[in-house]
Amino acid sequence: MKNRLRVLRAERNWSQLEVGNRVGVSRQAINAVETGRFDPSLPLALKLARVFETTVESIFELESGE
Amino acid sequence: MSKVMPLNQALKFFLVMVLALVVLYAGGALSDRLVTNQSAGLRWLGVAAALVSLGPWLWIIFQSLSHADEYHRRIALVGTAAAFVIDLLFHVALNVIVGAHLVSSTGSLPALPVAMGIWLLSVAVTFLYYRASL
Repeated sequence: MKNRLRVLRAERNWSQLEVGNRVGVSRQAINAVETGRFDPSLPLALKLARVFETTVESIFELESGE
Repeated sequence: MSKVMPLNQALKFFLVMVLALVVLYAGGALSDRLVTNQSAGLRWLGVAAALVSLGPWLWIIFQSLSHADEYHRRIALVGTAAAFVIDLLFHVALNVIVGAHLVSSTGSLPALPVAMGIWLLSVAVTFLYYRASL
């Protein structure tokens, strides 16, 4: 699953730790989501969407074949 | 906010870990004495002592998981699943090896340290796997 987390974070000049604090997870978790090693749960995806004031679909996207 | 443990809670946690080690050792020693007793009731008590001595460690594991986020819980879950399979394979292999008289059947490995070692190793390898698979 692809995501635009890094781009959204860079636009706001937020660190991974800051995003993690805002959604209630660790910096490692945000890093793992950003790098595609870990797919977040639906509650976490919704929290990320709320923090970035956008929709889940605009952050996460299925890759071809998924 | 992410779940960060304050210093006083971390100290309390450390003390509980030390206490858990003492209880594990003392419970094991007590159990060893009780299970060789003539009385069946005391032997059952020995079984109970062995199980109860694991209680603090189980509490520590549950506390650790309750402070972890979903990413670290995933690592713990995958590591635990891997540890279950590795532990099963290890014991099957060991039984076959002993049955084949490749090693002495009089010697035995302590089950609990082996299981804990395999679990810790599996969780550590899973952690490294999740970090490495970029």
